[in-house]
Amino acid sequence: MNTRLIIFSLLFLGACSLSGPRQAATWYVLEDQGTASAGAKPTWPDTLLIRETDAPTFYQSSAMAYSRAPGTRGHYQYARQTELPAPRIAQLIRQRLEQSALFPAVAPLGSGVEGGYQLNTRLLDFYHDAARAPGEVRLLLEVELVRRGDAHLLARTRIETQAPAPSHDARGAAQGANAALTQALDRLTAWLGQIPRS
Amino acid sequence: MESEARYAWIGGTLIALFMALAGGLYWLSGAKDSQPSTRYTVYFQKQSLEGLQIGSEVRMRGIKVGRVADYRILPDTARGVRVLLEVDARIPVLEGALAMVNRKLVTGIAGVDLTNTTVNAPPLTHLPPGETYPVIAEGVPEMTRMTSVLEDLGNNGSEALQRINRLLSEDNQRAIAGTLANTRALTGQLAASAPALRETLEQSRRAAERLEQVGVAVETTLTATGHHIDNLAAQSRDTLNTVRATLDSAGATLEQTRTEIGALSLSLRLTADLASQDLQATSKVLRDSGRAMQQSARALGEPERILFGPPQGNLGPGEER
Repeated sequence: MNTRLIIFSLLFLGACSLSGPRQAATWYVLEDQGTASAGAKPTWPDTLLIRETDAPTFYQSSAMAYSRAPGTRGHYQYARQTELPAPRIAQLIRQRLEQSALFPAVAPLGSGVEGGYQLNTRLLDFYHDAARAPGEVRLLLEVELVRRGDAHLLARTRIETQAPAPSHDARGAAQGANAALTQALDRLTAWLGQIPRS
Repeated sequence: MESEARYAWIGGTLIALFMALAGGLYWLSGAKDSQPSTRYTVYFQKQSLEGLQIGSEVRMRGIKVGRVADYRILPDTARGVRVLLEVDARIPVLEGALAMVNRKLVTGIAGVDLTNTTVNAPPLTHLPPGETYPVIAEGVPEMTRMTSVLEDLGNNGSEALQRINRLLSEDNQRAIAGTLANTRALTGQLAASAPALRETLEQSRRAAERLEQVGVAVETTLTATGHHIDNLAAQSRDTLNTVRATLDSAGATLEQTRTEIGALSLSLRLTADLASQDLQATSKVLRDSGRAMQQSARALGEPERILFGPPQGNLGPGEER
């Protein structure tokens, strides 16, 4: 009888504590903090189509990523981004390239527009390296430019950027992520401007 | 004498136990209710209030900050249920705060969670017209948000499949196959008749040259022989003009055919390019949907995370439970 009473009491106490206090989630917006100056005349002769950025399964989540030790990754439990990183990065790339006016027009792939060139991007890594406080945000992006007429790969590159996180928490990681992405977009624009047209 | 002493000891013990019980009940039931509190009104329209009752807890960031003081089911369905909350006056309830019903999964007992959504907003003191207490807006609970995400996922997958079905519909397949067959037939006929056409044109050109030579000779002869033969020369010239007109017409027809084939080729190339773009975008949506469903399945496979929250070891830098 006593055993049953103790088990019942433990079950009751366990049930009462199921939804204990939890920290509220904060949602951060991934932003491009830079601008591109438009040239007088487009460098490329035809429209550019931007394919949506590919990303590993780990980064197909709105939770922000961090790493406390080399070769490991984790997700912040109470910090999220308002949009998945891959589609957001493709959107910001399109906005930045439209500003730069390197191409006569820039449109998403599949929007019903015919284009002479296609930009493929792959998000390889994007995390807050928190091994040391306050840490830094690392971004690794693979980019390739394709001529659609004859399916010819014109150029491919890897863009790797790092930006310090102002604080050792999710807020610092979000600010560092914006800075790292801005650097990457600067380098992408410069790279597209110097590819030889053959 | 000895039995009276035992009764006194029992009576004293009982009195002490009753006093302890009364003190405990007082402590449990409301010793802290004497603290000053502020009342707020919430109109719940979208969320189920199952398990919510008078006295249910009101929490902010997981801490109990008040209780449900009263509720009333309104006859006006658009306004739902009016719930009166009594919140500790020291708790900052700010403009833009949201109220969500939080239900314990096992016991079914519900409470109300308050969340301040805006940093540095002024305290919520504004009284809307006709209200006795400030009104807190209704929020969307996590579970509803997750359900909405899963619904969106399902809709996206369904839309992608519909697009593929439309693209590969029998009508489209028949139309593309028909266009290709017509192009093939047209090109084949043109290729088959090209040598004959070229030969005809060559013969016509040679005939024209001969006729021109004959014409010149006849004209010379006519000049020499007199006006009677002028008519014959004129007829020869007319024949020559007719042959030239025929040759011009054949050339125009060939040019028109070449233009039409060029336009057909451009149209086919454009159609193929747009279809290729659609296929690329659709296949990517399908891949992403599959991965998202895998992640959702993984999350549902870890019920302890839903019940107890993330383990301490999974918390990121600066996070605490």
